[in-house]
Order: sequence, then C-alpha cells, then structure tokens
Amino acid sequence: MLKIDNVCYTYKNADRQVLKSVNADFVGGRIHSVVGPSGSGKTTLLSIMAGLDKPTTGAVLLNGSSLSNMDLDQYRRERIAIIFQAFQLLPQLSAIENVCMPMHMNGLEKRQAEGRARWLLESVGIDSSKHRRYPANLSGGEQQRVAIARSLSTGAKVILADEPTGNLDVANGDAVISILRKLAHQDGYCVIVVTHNMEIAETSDVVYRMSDGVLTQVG
Amino acid sequence: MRVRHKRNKQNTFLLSVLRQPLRSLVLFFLIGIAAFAFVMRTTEFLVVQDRINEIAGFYQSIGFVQVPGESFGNVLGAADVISQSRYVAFEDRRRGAEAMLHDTLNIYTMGRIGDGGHGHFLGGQESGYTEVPERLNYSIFYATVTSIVESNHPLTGHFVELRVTVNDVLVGYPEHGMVPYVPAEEAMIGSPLPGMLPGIGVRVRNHMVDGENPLLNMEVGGRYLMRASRYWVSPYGRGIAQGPGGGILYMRPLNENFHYIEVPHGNANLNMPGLEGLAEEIEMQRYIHSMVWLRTTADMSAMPMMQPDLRRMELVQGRLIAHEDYIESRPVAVIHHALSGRRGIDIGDTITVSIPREQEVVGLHTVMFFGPQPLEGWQFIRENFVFGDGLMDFSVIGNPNEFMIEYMELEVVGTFAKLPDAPDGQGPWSYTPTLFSNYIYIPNSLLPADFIATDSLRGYGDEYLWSSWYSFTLGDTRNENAFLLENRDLLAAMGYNVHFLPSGAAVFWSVAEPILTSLTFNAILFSIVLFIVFGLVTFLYMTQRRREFAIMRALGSPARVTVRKMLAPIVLLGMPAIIIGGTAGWFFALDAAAGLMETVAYATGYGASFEYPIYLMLLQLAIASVMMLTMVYIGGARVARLPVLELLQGTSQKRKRKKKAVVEAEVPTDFLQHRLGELLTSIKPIEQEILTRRNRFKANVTFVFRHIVRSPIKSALAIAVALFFIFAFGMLHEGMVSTEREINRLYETTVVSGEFAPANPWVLGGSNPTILTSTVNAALDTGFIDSYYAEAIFSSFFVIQADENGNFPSGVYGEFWDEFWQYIRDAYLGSVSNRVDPLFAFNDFDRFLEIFGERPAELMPGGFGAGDVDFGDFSVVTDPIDIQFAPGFSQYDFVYYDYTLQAPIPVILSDLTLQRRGLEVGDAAFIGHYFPSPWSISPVIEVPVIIIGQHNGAIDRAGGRNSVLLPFDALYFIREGNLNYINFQFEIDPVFNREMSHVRSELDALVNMRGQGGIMMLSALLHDDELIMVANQMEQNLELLRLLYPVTIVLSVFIGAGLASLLLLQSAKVAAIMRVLGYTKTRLRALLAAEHITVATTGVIVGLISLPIFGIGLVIDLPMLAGLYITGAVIGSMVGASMITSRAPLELLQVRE
Repeated sequence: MLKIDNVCYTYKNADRQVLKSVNADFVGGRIHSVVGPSGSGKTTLLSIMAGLDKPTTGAVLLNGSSLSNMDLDQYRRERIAIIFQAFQLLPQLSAIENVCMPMHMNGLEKRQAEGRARWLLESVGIDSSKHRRYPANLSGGEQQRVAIARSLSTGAKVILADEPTGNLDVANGDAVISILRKLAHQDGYCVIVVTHNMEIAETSDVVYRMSDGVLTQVG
Repeated sequence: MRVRHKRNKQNTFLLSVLRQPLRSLVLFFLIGIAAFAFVMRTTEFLVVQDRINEIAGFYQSIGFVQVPGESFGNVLGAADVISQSRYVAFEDRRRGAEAMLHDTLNIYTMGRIGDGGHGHFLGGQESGYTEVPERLNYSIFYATVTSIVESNHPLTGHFVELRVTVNDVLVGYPEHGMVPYVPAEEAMIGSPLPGMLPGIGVRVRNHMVDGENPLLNMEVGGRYLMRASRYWVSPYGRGIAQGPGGGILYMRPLNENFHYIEVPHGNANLNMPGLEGLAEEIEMQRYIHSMVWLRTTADMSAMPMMQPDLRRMELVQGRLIAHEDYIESRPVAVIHHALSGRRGIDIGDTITVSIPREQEVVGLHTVMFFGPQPLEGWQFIRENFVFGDGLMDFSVIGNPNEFMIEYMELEVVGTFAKLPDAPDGQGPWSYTPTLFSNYIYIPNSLLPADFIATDSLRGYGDEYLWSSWYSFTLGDTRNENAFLLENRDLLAAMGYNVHFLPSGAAVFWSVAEPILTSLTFNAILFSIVLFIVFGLVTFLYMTQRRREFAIMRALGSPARVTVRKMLAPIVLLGMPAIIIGGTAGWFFALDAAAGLMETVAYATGYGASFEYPIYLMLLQLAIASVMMLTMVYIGGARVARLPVLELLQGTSQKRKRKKKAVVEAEVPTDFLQHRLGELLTSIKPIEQEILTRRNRFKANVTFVFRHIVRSPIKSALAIAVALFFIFAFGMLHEGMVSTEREINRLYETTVVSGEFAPANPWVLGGSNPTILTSTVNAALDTGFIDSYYAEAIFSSFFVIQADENGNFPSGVYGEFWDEFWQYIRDAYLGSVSNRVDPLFAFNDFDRFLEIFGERPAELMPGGFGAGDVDFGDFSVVTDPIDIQFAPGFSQYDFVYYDYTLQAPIPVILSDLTLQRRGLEVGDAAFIGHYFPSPWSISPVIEVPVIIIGQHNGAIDRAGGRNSVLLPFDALYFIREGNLNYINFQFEIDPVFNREMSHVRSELDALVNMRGQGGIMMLSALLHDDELIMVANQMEQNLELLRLLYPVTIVLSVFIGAGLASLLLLQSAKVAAIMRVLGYTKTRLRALLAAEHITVATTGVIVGLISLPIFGIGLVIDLPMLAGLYITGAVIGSMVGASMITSRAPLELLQVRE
C-alpha cells in the first residue's frame, strides 16, 4: 500500500544523511512498527511518509503512485491519517468539532459530517455526553480516542501513529492498540506505528528497526 | 553536610527570549511603536494645550470700575468687594512714587512737563516767558557770548539770537550742550556727555519784552551766568523730530530780578542780594534732572494701558513686570525705551533709585499739582513749603541716605514705549518729550505697604483709590459673566459700574475649546490604546512563556522567583522600547510643532516656545512604563496562580473551572468487537461524499468564528485596540473638522477694520493726521475695502450770515482779516484757537455717532486731569456729542447731492458758533473761505448752507471742537477733491481675511508711497488681532494636528500589523495540526489571517457604528482610515501566518524525547 523506495534524506545546509537508502513496503491489513533510538531518523521518515517533507532521493509510493506526483496536501487530507502521542487536538474545538474538522476541510456538508463524527466517537468509546467537551476537559485516553476518530473521519486507509500510547496508561494504551489492530486486521488498514514501546512492536505484524538512518526489518 | 548552593542567576526566560529573536523583535517593535504613538500624541496635546493657554494668556479679562459721571472716581469700596470674588486672580492697585535715579539723569530735557497741550507755555503772549522763569528742566551755566544777532520773523516778530560758548555748568542736561549751533562733529552729537559740557557752543534766543530785548544789553566776549531751557517745538519748525534745525535753547531770566548777571571771572555769588533762592533752585534742578516716577503694578501685562485696544503702551524689548515678580517681590524694573537708549541702560543692567518718605512739593509734583506758576505762585510755594521739610535738605543732596527711605537696586528686565511714540535715536532732538520717559515700572510689592496709595498731596491717602489706578484680572476669561452676575448689582447699589475691557476671549474660546476637548479625548483614547496594547503584549508574552514557567516551578523554583524571572525579559525588552519609542515620539512631535510654527507671524506679546522641560518627557515615559509594568504584574500574578501540572499539560484553568472536572472514563472492553463491524462497513471513502466548495467555505467560517469566540481575551483585546483606534481617529478627525469649520467661519465672518494713522503721530504734536485724497482713492482702488468712514477737516472757513436778501454779504472779508491772522499765528505757535469756523466733514452719520456720541464706558487714553494731576493710566468718562436738529430735519437730511454747489449744504453748527455768528438753527447762511497768506492767494469760495441742527461742540479731534459739521461730499466738492482726510477708517472685505498680510503690505506700501514729499509717513493699521490671535493661531494648531494625524495613522497601521503577526504566532501549533490534517499552506494562511482580520474588522465596524452615538459624523475619511488599519492587520496576519506555516509541522507537534 505504502512503499518506501530507496529513500535518502539530507537536511538542507547539513552534511549528515538522516535517512540512508530506506526501503520498506507497508501493506494493508497489517500493523507495522518502526522502532529505534532517538535521533535514528524515525520522525524524518514519518514526515516523509506523511507528505510533510520530501525525500532527497528515492520515492514514496502509495498504491504504486509516487507522492511526488500527488498534491501532498490532498494526500494528507484524504489518503493518510496521523495520530500523535500528544493527541494534538485543536484546543478551541470540542471533541465532535475536532472530528468534523477534516471532513469540513474536504467540504462535507455539516450535518453529514456531524453524523459521521458522532458515530465515530461512539465507535471509539466516547459517549455522546462528552461530544461537546473541549480537549482540556477530556482525559488523555479520551483525547487519543478522539484523535483516532478524527483520523478515521476522512476514510484514509493509511494510519501513521507516532507513539500513540506514549501519554496513556496501560488500559487506555491497550484500548488504542486494539483499535489500531482491528482497523488493520479487519478492515485492511495499513497501520504504521512509530514507537519506543517494545510491547507494541511485539504485537505488530511487521517490525522495522531504524538505526542511524538505516531501516531494517527485524520481524 | 548541607551544601549551600550558589544561587542560580541564570534566567531561562531571558534565554528563551533571546533565542526567539524574531518574536522578541516584534514585541520590542510593538511596544516601541505604542510608546512612540502615546508620547507623540500626548506631547502634541501638551504643545497645543500649552499654545492655547499661551494664547489664552494673551487674552485677559481685565476689569475696571467707573464711578458714574466721574473721570477719576474713588473706587476703594468697589475694590474691597471685588477683592473678595473667587473669580478674581489678582487686583492691581497701582501706586506711584517719585524717586531719584542715582548716577544718571533722566531724559526729560524739555522746557516743560507733560503730554498735554502746550499753549500755555507761550500763552499767546510774547512776554509770557518772563512769567515762568521756574519752568522745569533748565540749565544754568556760565557762557561767553560770541555773537549777538537781531532778527525778525513775520509771525513772531523781533528776536535776538545769541551764540555762546559754555564755560561752566551749574546744572544741566548733556543734551542742552548739543543744540546744533556748532557743526555736528564739534558738538559731539550723540556722544554721552556727563552734563552740559563746557566749551560747547549753544544758540540762545530771546524775544522782545515790553518793546526791548534784554539780550541786546549783553556784549560779545562777555561772560554771563544765564539760564536757558529747551522747548520741544520751535515756532519756526514743525518739531524737533524733523531735524536739527528746529532745536534751540530759550533764554530764561535767572529770576524776577535778573535776566542774567555778568560774571567776568570765576563764580557768581549766589548769596548776593537779588539772587536769593537761586542756589536752592539749582539744587532742586539737580534733583529734578535725576527724578523718575516709580509706578507699581501687580502685573504689567494686565495693565489696561498695555492692552492693544487702548494703544497706550507697548513692550519694546525684554519683558514686562510679571505677576510672579510681584508675588516674589523681585527687584526688577521696566523702563522707557528712550531712557534706556539715551542713558545707555540695557536689559540686565542695574539701576539704583531712592525714594523719599514724604513726597512733597518739589520735583514733578511742583508742576503736576500746581501747574505752571507765575512768579507769585512760585513765591507762594517757596514760602509755604520749606524745602527739606518732608522731602530733602538740598544741602545734603550729596548724601541721599539722610532723607531717602528706600533704596532699590533694580534689574532692568524690559523697556516700554508709549504709543504713539517718537522713535528714539534719530538725532539729537528726537527723544521723547514725555512724562512717560521718566516712568519706571516696578512690582507693587517692592514699595512699602504703607506707602501712599495714590495722591497724598490731595490728602486722600489710603482712603482713596483712583479708578485709573485700579484694575483687576480674572483667573479665567470665561468667567466674566459669572463675575458680573456675582458682583454687578452689588457694586451698582454701591454706586459703581464695573466693566471689562474687550478681550476677544469669547471668540477665542469658541475655537479653542472644541480643539482642547478633542485633544483631551484623543490623549485619553491613545492612553487606553497603549494600555490595551501593553495588555495584549503581556498576554502574548505570558502565553509564550507559561510552559517554561510551569517547568521551572515543577523543578522546584519558588513561584515568586519564577514570576520575577519570567517578567524580567519583558521588562528588559519593554523598557528600552518605551524609552526609545517614547523619546523619538517626544522629539518628533516637538520638531514637527516647532517646524510648523516657525512660519507663524506672532502677534505682539505672544511668542511660541517649544522648549519643554525634559522631566515632562520622563513623566510620559514613566507613565508608559508604569502601564506596562502594571500589565506585566497582573499577567505574572495570573500565571502564578495557575496549577503547574495543568500548565504543563496545556489545559486552560479558566475553562476547566467552569466545566466539570475531568474524570478518566472507564476504558471500554467490549465496544471494539461490538462496534467494529459497523465501523468497518460504514466508513466510506470521502470521495463518495457530496463535496462542495460552499460547504468548505462554511466550515472555514465556522472554524474562524469558533476560534474567535473561544479565545475571548485575545479577541476582546484585539477588538478593543481596533475599536479605540477608530474612536481616537474619529475624535481627532471630528476635532479637526469642527475646528476647521470654526476657523473658516471666523475667516468668513470676521470683519477686520483698519485705519490710516501716522507712522509717528508724535510728530504731529497733537494735530490730526493728514491723509491725501489720492491715498484714499488708491486704497479704495485696491478692492480690499468693503466699506469706509472718512473725516476731513478744513480750518480756514467762516460761517457768514446772509444779508437781508439771503445773499452773500459784500465786503465781509475785511471783518475777518484780523481774526484770520490771529488764527494763523496761533496755529503756528501751537495754540488752540477758536477764531475760525473749521469745517468737519464725514460720510457716515451713524459711525460718527458711534465715535463721538453716547457710547459704553471705555477706557480713554488718560493722563492728566484737572490741574495737570497725573491720573496716569486712563479715564473712563466720555464727552459725547449732542446734536439737536431743527424742526423738520433729521440726520437723514445730512446728505448732499448737488455737485454744482448751488443748493444749500446741510450743516450742523456748534452752540458756540451759532452764538458767535448770530445765527439760529434753520437759518440760511454761507460758508466762506479766503486765504490771504503771504505765499498764495486761494480762490474765494462762497457756498450757501442751511443750518439743520446744532451740537455741543464735542468733536474730539485737533481743531475739531465747535466745528461746522457737513456732509463729506459737500466738502469734497467745495475743495474740488483737494482734501486732506484726518480719519480714514475702513473694513476689509472678509474675502481677503486669509490674505491679511498681503493686504497689510499692499496698504502699507500704498500709504508709504503717498507719504513722500512733505506729507507725513502713514501706517495702515489693521485691527486683525482676532484673526491673528484666534483664526491664524488656531489654524496653526490645526496644521500641527494635521501634520501628526497621518503619522498616527501610520503608527496605528504598524501597531495593527504587529499585533496581528504576534497574535498569529501564538497559533503556530494549531497551524501545524491543520497542516498535518491536510490544509494547504495557502488555505491555512488565509484561514489564520481571516481570524485576525475578522477580529480587527469587528472592532473597526463597532467603532464606526458607535461613533455617531458620540456625536461624531461618519465622514469618508474614517472608513478609509479603518481600511488602512485593516490593511495593517491583513499585512501583519499574512506575515504571521507565513511565519508559522513555513515551520515543519511535526517539529511543533511531536513530543521530544
């Protein structure tokens, strides 16, 4: 589904190569973990996969199409979803508004968007009494579930998760991972989790290790 | 062992600020700009308010009191009432004191004193001189006669002229040695002489006495003790100011026994029989030559005599006695400019005077209170007032300490001139022969409190206060009505009328108050704007730094220390910004004001100064600093109260306080299996939805709206800044517009009157000015003059009774021959004569009545009352003309259209003329003219007249009293256009009000041109004080506002832009999320910018809508300005949005390990 083809990345005005001929093939229906120490290049890889940055050389292919030929904003808007460790909900928007926001961005009519958002929120365990709450009034687990709901709202089939359980307790972390696993295994989502958490890595279908800019499949 | 750690002085916040240079720069810039705007506007307020106060100071509500029917009444009772009024700033109970000037002489070198008529000097009698040997200000000297010349003059007859060489001077003025008998270089004209200088030749003249001239008994080569004095008008010349040819000394008898005595060698024995008293007179003369007249005041600028309307005195150089001089009893003096020039006393010099305790008999009082004395009168004074009693012992004149009670060393701070006044320094004869030259003004507080208040010689002392010596000044010109309401009836019941001098203050305040109000509001509004900007800046800074604050707190740093450290960078950043911005604003505003005002021609007595004490700037900077520190403190205190962990988690305390506490929801265990199937089947690709651009737009709008509403403080502050800017602009604009409207109204409606007056009226010696017909016609041709009033006088006419047939009587001129000759002689000798029937013509009866008829109490240039008493300042009683028309006639019959001079001219004769010529009202008569001068024969004129009325003779013009009144056109045709006007008053067409300087220069050039060829120099006096002082000055103020207005606009645009970009920088994280979610940079920038633009626009719109509520019209400028402000906000937003969208989103969103 998402293929990394010999991607190299060097920061502008810097000599050090952050990514060195990275190759990977992230397929639908599986959870992929990318583990590695800090500074190994995980975030850079995530940024390139998210279309927020472009590789110096090489290509990222979605379903065989290179991102370089795509509108990256549209790519992010429609094809992928990102989940962050710190949730990154918009603080001025309520839970349901946060979920609606990507749909609004895509021009979905308000009522339809809200209907879908409500459904998604309930799907991830946020009951209707909390739909109008602001992120500050939700627990960490709830916030992350709202973030997952938001990522699902556009129907993107690739989910990039950056330490999705890093701010959560075990129970909430497990719940989030369960959601991701189900999304991958039951609906064919391609889930890519960048994490330090070896437990998550161990439960993943495919594990990559990033070390000094080199990505190696280890399991 | 406990380890004492060194206190951590590192300021993390400071480091953060330094490492975010762009953001810090924006903060610095914003604070600096706000401080610049604040100080600039408040300085502008300061300058304009100061100028208005300064101009207002020019207008003073100066009141005076009149005792009905009296020229110089006792107003002590009224003064005691007035002194109690809360509206009165101060009273001026002026006093006078004779004093002796040390080490120099006064300049009253003429033969007699005073500013009044001089007819009694020669008195029309050739022998008159012998009767007034004690005439003041003479020189007594030994001189050798070098020639004796007899001569004759057709008018004055036989006279003898001596030429002498002065050998020794007993008493005399240096100027007496400068009579231009000898060549100028020999006479040392203009040289400072210590006294009448021996060796200088003088010309001494005398007339026949009882058929013989005693000077003929003198011998050439003989040495004589003689007395001579100067007289200011030569019978053979126009006046001493016209050139040295008119100067001469007149021989005076030594006393009633001797015209002179021959003293071949050495000194005369002044104790010899027949010379008794001469020694005393010499001593008295020495005193008189040093005598000055101290006059006191509480504030010279508030003296009625100093007011331009009265045209009595003016400041020439330096400054006047100020009220502060009076309050602090400063030893300062203002002297006559002629005394200054002639005796070399400059501004800053010190003069010493001594004042006798009892002011009796001698000195100026002698003549002032007793008048010119015949011998018997002088003898009476000598016998009844012993010299030395109460004044001085002339034998100790060398030691004034023994009889003087007050010594004063006075610093000369200014010089004044009396108006009209002769220019000084144009020749040896050009000094001012006026009592004023001896006036020295000092603060009233310098004289002992018990010193005579006015006139002890008359025995009134402290119980009397002449109306002319009293005036008072209100604290505020706007309180005139309130004062009158409070006191007028009470004073009227006591027998006093109280009046104020016309000041023009009402007009001034009608213009000044709107601009003051506007400026005050504006300064307040800008202070509020500054306060809000500081608040916003603080808010933004706190938002930036509060996470660091929380970390520091979490690491164990005490709250107070952490707050202090957090505040330090904003203070370090803000204070220099305030100092730099504020200082720049201060100098910018002052430079702009000074630059603008350089072009202003200030009215007399007013000069703008833009040197303000630096503490005012420091005060403004301090205010700005306090405002900022207050906001910083409030912000710091607010942050310090927030829970640390919540700050670290990025939650908002405020919202949380209102909402339910966060309860961690139970993690569902089964929903995934239960729901997931539905989830998987229900989620469809987004492409399948109906996507519309409209929905997207609506969503964006909603997003912007939510962001605005859910950031209430930020939005409110941003709206408030925009709102107040619009308010400030509106107020300022409204102030300018209304002021401009008022100024325009003044320009369009103010009628500037003017007149042609002698440039140097003193030369006339009290006569009327002569304005040529051609000059008047040229003035009328300029087109400047809207309407005019003209007077002309022609003296050598007679009213002649018609014969029994109503015809001109034959042979009538012979009867008038002697009378006419006597008239000519009197005229030459400077006497007032009633021997002819002067014709007085004018062109506007109503105006004539305004000038000469019943009129409101006004201050007349006063001076001397009955008996030559010096009432000094002014009189308040008029002598109105009273006209009685013959039955069937009225003023409307006072017109003349028959240019053939065949129809009778309507005339109004004085009671005296009617009586003298045996005529009655209603009679037909003739006016005739026959001028048998030795030089020319004028044609005989015989014009029929009809006497339509009679008047009481009160025509206050030289030679005009008891004159024959006739229509101007009649005299014009009688004289065939060859007419000299004595008064030409006009009103300038208001169309030219904005070009008054041009009008003035044109008219000046015109009258000066006409002034050539023996006719006196004229000035075109324009009474445009109101225009200069109100319209013109306020226009300059308006210009200043206009000059700084666009600067304010530019600053507001900068502030708007700076605020917008700074606010947007706060949205960096939101922007990153949006980017990750797929917003394009362009769309995101637009969205973010739209948020702030909406906020700014909301403020602007609310402001624009609210302005009419406050009575401010919504003129086209304001929406334009609003647009400019919004443009600033747009630019700032775009810059801010570009800055935050250009950062890598993940950098902002990721939690760093």
